[in-house]
Amino acid sequence: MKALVWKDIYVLTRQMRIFLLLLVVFAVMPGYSMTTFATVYAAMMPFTAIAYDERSKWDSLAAMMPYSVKQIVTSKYVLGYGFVAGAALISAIAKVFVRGGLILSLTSLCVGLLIMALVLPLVFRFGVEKGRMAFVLIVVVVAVGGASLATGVASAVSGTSALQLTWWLAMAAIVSNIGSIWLSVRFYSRRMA
Amino acid sequence: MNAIELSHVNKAFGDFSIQDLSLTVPEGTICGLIGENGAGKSTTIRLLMHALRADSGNLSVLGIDVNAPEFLAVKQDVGVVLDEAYFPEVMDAVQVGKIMASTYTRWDAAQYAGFLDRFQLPRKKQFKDYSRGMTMKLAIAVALSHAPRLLVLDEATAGLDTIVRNEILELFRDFVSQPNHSILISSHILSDLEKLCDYIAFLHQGKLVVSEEKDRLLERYGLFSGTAEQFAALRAEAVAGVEHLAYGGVRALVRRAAAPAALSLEKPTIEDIILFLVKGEKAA
Amino acid sequence: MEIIIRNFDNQPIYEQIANQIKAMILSGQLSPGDALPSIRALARDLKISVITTKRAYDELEAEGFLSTVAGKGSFVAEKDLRLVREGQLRQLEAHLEQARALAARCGLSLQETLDMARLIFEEELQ
Repeated sequence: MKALVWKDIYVLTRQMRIFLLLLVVFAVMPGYSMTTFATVYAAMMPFTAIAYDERSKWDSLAAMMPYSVKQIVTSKYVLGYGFVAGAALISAIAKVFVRGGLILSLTSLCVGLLIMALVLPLVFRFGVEKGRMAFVLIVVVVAVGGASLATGVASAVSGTSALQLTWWLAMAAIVSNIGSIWLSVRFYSRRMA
Repeated sequence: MNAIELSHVNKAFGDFSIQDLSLTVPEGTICGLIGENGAGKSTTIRLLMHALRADSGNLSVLGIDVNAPEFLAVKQDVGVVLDEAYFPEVMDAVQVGKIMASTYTRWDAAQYAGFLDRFQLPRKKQFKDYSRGMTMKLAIAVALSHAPRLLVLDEATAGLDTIVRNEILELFRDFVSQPNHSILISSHILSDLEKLCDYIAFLHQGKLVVSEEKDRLLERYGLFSGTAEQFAALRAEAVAGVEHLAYGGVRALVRRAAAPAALSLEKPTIEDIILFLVKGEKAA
Repeated sequence: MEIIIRNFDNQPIYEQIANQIKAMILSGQLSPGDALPSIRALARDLKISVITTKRAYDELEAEGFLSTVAGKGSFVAEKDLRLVREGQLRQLEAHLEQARALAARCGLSLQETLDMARLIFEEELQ
């Protein structure tokens, strides 16, 4: 498992550099939501890693090594969680002086997790090529919905309702991810049938 | 003990199927799996590493059934080189070394470094800039560096020039000279396998046509070259395959046991035997 | 110890090995108690199959030329070589008798037959 996550980190080194560069660009550009961008980009990382795997047929090789299907699938989730959490942390640091910033970061974290939960099973089932379409669609729906939600959260000055909303979002993110991993493992196993 | 044991394995998908495949590779030996592209070599390898589930039949590797939960641990003891499946192209040899160190419990970093030097593989170059030969050599270095007891090699010598190929065959020979080490190697380069293997298994359209000790196979048959008249004198059961040439010549694969002792026969190669047997199969 | 495998030879490889080791024992090049290379080592060095090497050793063992001690390896057996040699000389005699009969049938004189034998011997030496 550790090996698999590290492999993807090596694979994504270049993407991570671009990510940091873009974060700086978005941070200094007024009027753009760095948080939304960072979340979507971070949630996309496992997808990018799978695209590299597919190109070199890594999965055929991984099937010969002492990794279980569960490990192979969950490693991609763990990778995504790391990136989404990292993105949320960076945006939290950037917004530490803005009121409601912390909640906004928390909300974006949940949105990122939701995107992953929806996209990854589709990618494991249909592959990167077809998964790409689904990915774009889901990102647009979730990001637009999430962004408006997040702005709503940010504008709600009284903390209680915003907090409640975030709490529900967090629950949804956790539940959907558990279901998503279960589904992805099933889809991945199907390749070996 | 047998390093590999397949018995009556069936697997169908699409319009291709593996039919009633039984094959054993005794510990300490090298088995060569031959057959044209699409004959089922890679499928067989995927089945026996449990990367593909068989429809029926029993498969075990190093004494453990592939369906058993312990099979994951068996993979620690198997070094695999696949045809056309690699590490992601943006990685380099050093990164692969680090990942393998936390994949295989008996990973030997010093041995791996030794192979990188020996094969003259650049450490920091991304694999997308490797040639096919270099990629294969890297895969072989990985397969040999975690103290395996069994090597499963799918076209591992493809894309290598003759000198490097011989060097690598030598490595494989050294590997099996240690006790209880075995190899299953698939290739379409028959001369490589003829030099290396103890057993030859020939797959044709998903079925095992020949599975035999190599030297016995070579001893059993002889090559006949002569006129049609001389050929006609041979008993029917002595002829395993025949080819009628231009200008009245006949070449035939002959079973030595059923042929007259005085008949002068050439020693065939594995390739001769396989080609004649396939032709016989098609005619039948 | 010298063993040469000839691929164009129609004689099976295991026989080639067995015969050459036998010859070394009979000629005294190898003496009783001498250790032979292990089956694996010999197979690797000659670049031939282990199974074939094992077959050669098995045959030598069955004929009493070798004895294998589990875990230690194979050794040249204590064997009454005079008896073996005698047996082989008898075999040679029988073959020569056959050759003589054939020569008579072909109308070859003793000298002509000997010339032919000399040719065969010289060919082998080359």
